[in-house]
Amino acid sequence: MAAMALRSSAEAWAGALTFTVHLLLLALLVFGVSWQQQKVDTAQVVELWRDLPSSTPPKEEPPPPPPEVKPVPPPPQPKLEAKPPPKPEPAPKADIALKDKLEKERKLKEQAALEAEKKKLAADKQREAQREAELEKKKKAEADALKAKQAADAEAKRVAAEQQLARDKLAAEAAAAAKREVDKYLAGIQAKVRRFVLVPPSVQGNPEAEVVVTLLPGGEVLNVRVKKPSGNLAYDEAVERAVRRAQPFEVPSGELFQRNFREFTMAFRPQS
Amino acid sequence: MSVLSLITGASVPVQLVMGALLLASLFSWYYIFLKIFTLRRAARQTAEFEREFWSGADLNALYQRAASGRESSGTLERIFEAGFREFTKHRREPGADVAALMDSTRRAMRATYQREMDSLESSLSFLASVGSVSPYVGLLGTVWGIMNSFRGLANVAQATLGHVAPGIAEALIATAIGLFAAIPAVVAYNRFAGDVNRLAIRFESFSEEFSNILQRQVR
Repeated sequence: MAAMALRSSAEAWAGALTFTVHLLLLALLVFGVSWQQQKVDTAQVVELWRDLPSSTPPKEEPPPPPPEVKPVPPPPQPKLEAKPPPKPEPAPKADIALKDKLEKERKLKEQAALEAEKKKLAADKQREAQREAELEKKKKAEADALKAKQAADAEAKRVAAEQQLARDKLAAEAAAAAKREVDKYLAGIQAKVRRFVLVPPSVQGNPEAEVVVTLLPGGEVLNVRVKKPSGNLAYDEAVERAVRRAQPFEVPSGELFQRNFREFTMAFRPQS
Repeated sequence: MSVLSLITGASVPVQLVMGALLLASLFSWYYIFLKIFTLRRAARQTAEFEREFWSGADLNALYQRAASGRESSGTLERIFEAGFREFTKHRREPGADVAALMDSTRRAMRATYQREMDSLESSLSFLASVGSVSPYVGLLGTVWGIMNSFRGLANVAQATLGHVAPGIAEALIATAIGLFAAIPAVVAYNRFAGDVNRLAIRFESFSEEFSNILQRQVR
């Protein structure tokens, strides 16, 4: 009995030590190798970031609001209506007795009236001229204002156009960066798939097969279907199989994936 | 690219090879530890019994103790017990021939010795075969993996190191595991074979000396 117990305890010890040794070996292998790998990893990261434009397009500054051009209120229409000329006074009824005198007086009066009339007319004329000048001035001011406004408008338009241009340029740059990014991923996917394509011996020439691939966000293949068959069924199937076998693919995340990798088309030739 | 991903990414035959090697490694380490304990215990018990025997203890008392505690007794004790039992049985028979008596005693001791040696040497052959075979098995896995890796390479337009390296790394893991299994097994086998040999010499010389002692008792 004692020997049996001894033996089984020895066995238990041996088992436990065996597992310890293997865990140690595994830890050594994993940590030793990953430690070695880490250096390479960091180097790769540096290269990656140096070579690639940042995936997010540079933040666009909101365009400054166009300089506000205050609409110049149209100058009030100058009143052009002139005062009606004064009515000529009715000739007073002359007394016969005082006819001469009266006549004289009348004449004098008339003259005075005439003079006054003249004066008044002259004054009127002057006023008119003044008003005219004022009007002229006003008109000129108006024209100036209009011109200024037009200039401002043109300036604003030009600035806006410039901004639009700058924005377009930025957008174009971002689009180009995105496209480059997309192209890089596409090339990676294509290369990965190509590695898995086993070209059947029955393929003749260099036909092209187009497949539509639907991906999940993790880069897993949801669906593959042949869009444009190459004419060789075996090759089409080989490509399809290769796409399935090559998953998961490296795909970008977020917007870029949604726009470009949800569903996309790839073309394959047996020899490229 | 950690070692674990290399292992999980390997092709099925390579993974099978790795699994077999892992099993071999597990068993060989298990036997290594078991053997360490057994041999150490055997050496200790042998030393104890030798000391007791040569300190001039009464043979009958020793025999009684060995027979009663057979389960916990050491190898040398069992050899002694077998020889002494045979000797006393034979001596009780009337008209026993001395030569025949000694012969049968020696035979009994020999039989026990062989049985004990067999149990001491058990699983040493397993260690030997793990030590000699597992590098080859690992190599097979590696060759298979590299073959696959190159076959995949045939379909790539421009072959870069990046295409080949992961496959080869995957494949080489198999050799690494094979060597991990083989090296301890070989070292342990050599060590244990030496230990068992030394024990065997001690047992044999003891049984010779013991038969001499018994022969002297007959006269």
